[in-house]
Parts: sequence; structure tokens; C-alpha cells
Amino acid sequence: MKIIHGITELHLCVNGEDRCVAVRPGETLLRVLREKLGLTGAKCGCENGDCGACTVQLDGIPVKSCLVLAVECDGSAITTIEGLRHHPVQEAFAAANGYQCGFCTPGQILNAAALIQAHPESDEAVDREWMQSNLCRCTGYEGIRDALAVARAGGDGTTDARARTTSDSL
Amino acid sequence: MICADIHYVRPDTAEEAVEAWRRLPGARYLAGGTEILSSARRTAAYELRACIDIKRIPETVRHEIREGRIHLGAALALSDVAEGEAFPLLNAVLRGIADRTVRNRLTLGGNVAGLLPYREAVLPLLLADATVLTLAPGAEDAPPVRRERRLRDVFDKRLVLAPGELLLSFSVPMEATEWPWSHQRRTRTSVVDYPLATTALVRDGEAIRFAVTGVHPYPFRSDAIDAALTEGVQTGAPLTLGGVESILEALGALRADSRGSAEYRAALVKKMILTSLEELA
Repeated sequence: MKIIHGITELHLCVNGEDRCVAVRPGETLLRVLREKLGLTGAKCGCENGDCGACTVQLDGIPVKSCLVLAVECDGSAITTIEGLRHHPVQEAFAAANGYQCGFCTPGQILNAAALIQAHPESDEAVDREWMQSNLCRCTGYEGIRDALAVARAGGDGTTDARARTTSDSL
Repeated sequence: MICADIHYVRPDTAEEAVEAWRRLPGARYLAGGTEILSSARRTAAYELRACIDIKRIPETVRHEIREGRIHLGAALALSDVAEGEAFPLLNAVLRGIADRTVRNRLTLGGNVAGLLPYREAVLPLLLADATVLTLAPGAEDAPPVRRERRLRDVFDKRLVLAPGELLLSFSVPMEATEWPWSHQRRTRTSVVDYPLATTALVRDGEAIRFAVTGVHPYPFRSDAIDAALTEGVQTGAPLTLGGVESILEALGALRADSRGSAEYRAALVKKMILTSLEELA
């Protein structure tokens, strides 16, 4: 049994890089990423699990980092938008104008990347189910839907490339 | 973000978790954390002093079929449970709760035992006569007590457990997962919203079982409603739902809020029942 009280050392693999950070048990993953690791791509929106702007991948699963204690993630792999540089989904959002102000975009891309990894073939119902997790107040969602189609079409034109895992791309 | 200087405990066994609860005043069991974290940030309702993370206790993450029953750990994420093929009604209900990335964290036990009034995940479990496995602290220095009881015996508007009693898992007879079923969920606006009403209805031979949430400040299954619906089906008489409405009202004041009035909810539930019965006819 592990008991943590006060400041403790936390080991994470963030965007493929081993990181060690001092945290208190009450700190959320979102706060630790932004304020202690300087990764400000995950946005602090509602801090209530509603908006999805703070979405990151925890061991490959998209989660809202405002609802995760950092200490729960000891030894886990975290992927933030900074780790998806030039990822096909990121390129697709740019190509399809799947953003306007950009505040929600990191969360949208992290969720979309996990969606396409899990479901390489398009399925409107599944896409809708997954992407309803992220709110956007600018685009009307059409550009985001287009971005999914562009990403599935493949940056290099192959299905394998579209379906490659986030971790593979790091 | 929890501003208080809390303890975080990660036990490897259920016994360690219960012992930690005894030793740490103000401790709460933590699984998905979706309710604890949002509540701790928003209000002072939680006098949270310690989180006991139960996700690494093997019994809380079991997901298996054994001896004619499906066993579902309380710390399984809703999206993981919903991926299973063994209990289609449960899958359908779980897919209506919150949104996908929240369901990647929100757990089965957390939803059933949560503070929010809806607790939709309990509906299929009530209909299937699930049992619930818990571990309760023993008196003083006595060892903790493992208990398996019918869910309906410990769910009276909410899950009623002893202080410190740890919810480990649910168990459902496989035959109950094969009954014809109907699930309906109505919200005011978008799909991702709290429900005006969520209903689940199964047909076990000639017997109808029905459970609902959203209409009252708690979910329930009523023997009186089951009997009224079953009688209507068995006699083949045109179904009048005046009796059902009376029973709904007798169970307590219907919810009325910005999403819908009490009258609207009552009418909605009657319509949902009729639709479900037509689906299963």
C-alpha cells in the first residue's frame, strides 16, 4: 500500500520523455502539466469535466485532465498536444480549417487522434459519440468533421499511416 | 484541484482500503474521481481529507463471466463496461451517461453510488436482480466483513452502505442479460445532458420489469408498477396508464426544474412506457 502526504516525487512519461515532478496529492494532472511542466496546450476551461479543452491521452485513452489527480498517473504515459507535432490529425485540422479561436483545438485533436486510432474507418455514429466530448463555440463543428475525413484520407495516402498510434508518432 | 492538504492512499487489496478508511478521518474512496474532483473544486460540501484510490484492487476491476453470472467490478470505467457484449441493456444505458471521455474515467460503482440524482447505471442492475459485493469495516479491531446481498435490498433511492463499506463489484445472472429489453433516454436539448427521464424495461416471459430515473430525485424500480404493467400485458387489455401515474406520484414529488415540469415528466414517462411495450410486443 502506498501512502502519499505532502509533496511527493512523481514519475511520468510525457510525450515520450521521462519527467520527474514534485506534486501535492490534491493537484490535478491539468495543473501539473501547465504549471509545473510548462505544457500549456491543454487548456483550463470549465475545470468541471464539461468542455473537453483539457483533454490529454493517459496511456493512450483520452481523458479530461481536470478530473484526474496527478498522483493517480505515477508511471503512466501522457500525451499532450505538444507531443503531436506534425501528427496527421493536427495537419488535418489545419487543412480543413477545423478551428477558429483555437482554444478547444488541442483537446479536439487529442480526442480525434485517439478516435481514429481506435476506429480507422469512418462511422458517423461513433465519430459523433466520441467528439461530443469536446465543445467548440466557434466552428459549428463542420470543419472538425471535415478534419476527421481529411485525417482518415491520410496525409501520405495510406490507411496504415492514418491508423498509426499516437505513441508511434512520437 | 483539491486545495486541502489531503492524503492519497493506493491500497493493493480491499482489506488495506478499508483499514486505511478506519485510520484516516474524512477519507473517501476514489475510483474515477469525476464527482469527487468536480465537487471538491466547486463547493465546500466535501470535507475531504484523504482519497483512497481503489482502482488497483483486483476485485474492483474484474470483468468476467463465471458460474453463470457476469461479474462487474465497481471501478471499471463505463466505456470499458459498455464495450462488453454480455449485457446489451447495460451497454445501452451506459452509453447515454455523460460523454465519451468522461465515461473513460467515470466508473460503474461511482455512478451507482454517486451523489447526483440520476445514477442511470443502476437501472439495468435493478431489473436484472443483481447482487452487490462489499467489504465493511469490522467492529473495533475485528476484521472487515465481506457481504454479498441483493442490490434491491441495499438500494433504497440510493445505495445504502455502512460507513466505510467498500463497494467491490456487481454480479448479474446471465439469463437476465438475455431478456428482451428497451431503453429510452430523453433530454431537454443535446444528447450530452442530464436526463428528463431515462427508462429501462425488460420482459421476462410474461412478466414486465420497469425502472426509471430523472422523474424523481432518485432512480427506482417499483413492484407495483411492474405488477400493473405485467397485468396489462397478460390480460391483453388496452393499457391505461392512469394507475402508473398514480404510482409515480405516490412514490414522492416529481422533479420540476428548468429542464421540465413535473407534469411534463409524468406525461413523458407514460409515453416512454407505451413505446417500450410496443417495441417488446
